Amino acid sequence: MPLTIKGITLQQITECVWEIAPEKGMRVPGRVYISPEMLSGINGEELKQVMNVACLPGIVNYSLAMPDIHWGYGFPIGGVAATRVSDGVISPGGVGYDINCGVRLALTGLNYTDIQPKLEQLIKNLYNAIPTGVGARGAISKLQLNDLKKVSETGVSWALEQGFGTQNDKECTEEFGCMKEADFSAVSQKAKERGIDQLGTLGSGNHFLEIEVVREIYDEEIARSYGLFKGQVVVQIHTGSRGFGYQICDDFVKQLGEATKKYKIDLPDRQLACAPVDSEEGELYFRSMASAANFAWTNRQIIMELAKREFLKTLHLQQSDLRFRLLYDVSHNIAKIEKHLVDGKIESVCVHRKGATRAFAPGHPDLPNMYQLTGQPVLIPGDMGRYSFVCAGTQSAMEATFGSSCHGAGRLMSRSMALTAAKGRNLIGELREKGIIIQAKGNDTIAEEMPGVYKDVASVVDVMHRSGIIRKVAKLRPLGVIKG
Amino acid sequence: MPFDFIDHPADIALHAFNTSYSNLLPDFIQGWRSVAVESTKFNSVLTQIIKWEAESFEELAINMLNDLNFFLDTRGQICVEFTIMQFHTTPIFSLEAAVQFDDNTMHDIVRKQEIKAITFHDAAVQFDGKNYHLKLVLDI
Repeated sequence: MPLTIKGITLQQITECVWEIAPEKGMRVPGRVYISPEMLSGINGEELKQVMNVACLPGIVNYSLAMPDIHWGYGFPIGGVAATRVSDGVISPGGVGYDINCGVRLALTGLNYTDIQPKLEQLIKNLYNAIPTGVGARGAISKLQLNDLKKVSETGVSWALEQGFGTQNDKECTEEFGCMKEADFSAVSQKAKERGIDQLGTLGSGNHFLEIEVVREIYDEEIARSYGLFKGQVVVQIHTGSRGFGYQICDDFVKQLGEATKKYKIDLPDRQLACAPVDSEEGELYFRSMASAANFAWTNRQIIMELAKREFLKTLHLQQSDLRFRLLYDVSHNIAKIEKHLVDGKIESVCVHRKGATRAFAPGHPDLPNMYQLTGQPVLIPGDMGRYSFVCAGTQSAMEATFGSSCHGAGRLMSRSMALTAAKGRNLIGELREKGIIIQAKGNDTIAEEMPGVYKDVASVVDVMHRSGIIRKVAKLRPLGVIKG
Repeated sequence: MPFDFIDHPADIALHAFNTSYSNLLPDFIQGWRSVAVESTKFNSVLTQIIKWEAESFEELAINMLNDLNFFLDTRGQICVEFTIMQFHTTPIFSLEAAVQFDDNTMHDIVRKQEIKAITFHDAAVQFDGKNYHLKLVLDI
């Protein structure tokens, strides 16, 4: 039975896959991964964006939306689209302002009982050690321009040279922590100025650092291979490229707006400003975006190392006792040149993931040796009061979604609605009753990010799992949260 | 107030309305400032003459706000007074203004929200016969 939302007709393909047939300039159909129960939360604006993305020149297969879909700029959040390198376009709207916003999960050898007596102190120390909040700066000595160049062109390798981490961290980061196409000379002076003192800072909004415990294991074999066990303490970090990336996106929304006119590209939304992938403007954006991606991986690398140091100091442990290591680092907002199956042939495409996570299958050549048998760890954070998930990429993802999955819960409530709903409540106390300690700059941030404002991430992950896009491996529960 | 906020799923939609294009600009600055900083009392410590040009009014307003956002994020300078010296709508939209800034390295201005950028999302001026209306979405 087809379903119509705000005049947009969705045809059910499988239990959790719905299709929008091409119309009004769409070059491919739209495909939305969502359960029938979650459809009531869809207001139509995000579906219109799925249709707009389908109008991009060179788009192949489908304009895709993951179950955490919501209204974004140009692309919906939770949107995935691949365009042919030969005749397709690249769009900053398909990446977003926070370029390479992403998450990483670090494992420890500790059990919850090992840290429980010092958890409160640990959270305080982490909060003091890692700059959070609006315009946060100063975690490490202010960079010189030459250092910023190295960060943007070599990524995580720069952090390792400075003593922030180990070779394993690089192995366990998407793209091994560096997009080689990065070119600092493509980055504007304004972006350099905006990013130079923000490395090693968490920022504000939905960014966080959480200490979590592994609550449930769904796939024993993969969990063992990943090094996960029930009761284990882990650390999850969510942040991105800070002002460096915001400015690069802003610069290129304008520049590619001009390119859109130059190449006579007809677009339904100005925020989809784009240029041919192989044009001078497209390449300039790609090199600049890659610079911001490298900044973001380095940012998360430094924050993780600062966190590790606080664990060692607060818990009076040796590294051999802590056994701290990165499981994986995934990007949520990025465009990459990858090879995928299009019309029965392997083609080079530019995959835009905007609020979507790469989910590569076992055996993929871009994965490190340690994940060749299991598939890529796919990290899906939820809200600070409930849970997050570790999953694994599958072959179905390679075939259906360009190796992509959802990235989180997706907002249910606006910021103003959240502030109204939080009035008169003691959110810190409510979380404490659940055994979760939170340290944040302001009460408004806690209200805007409180558990009820997001969808239940379990239902989002279930759609992906039931569709065969990912395999659930483990569920994590927060113990302590720091936020900006 | 010549501005208000419209409910938005994840970010902040700032709506300003006034009798002319040029009057809308200080309204947007006031609205943007109320999102960016807690403080309401400022000192003017620095004046700068700034020019903007754009093909449309929406683009002009967005470019202006993104630049003010940049000054706050990188230099700690918050626009506290904005005097339009020249404003033209033809042949392109152009603006020259004397912008007075407070400096949070000298005064303790409390930042409230980190605004990544002011976006073009659904930005289109509308005229209701009395006022010009424009909604700009601030990406948080």
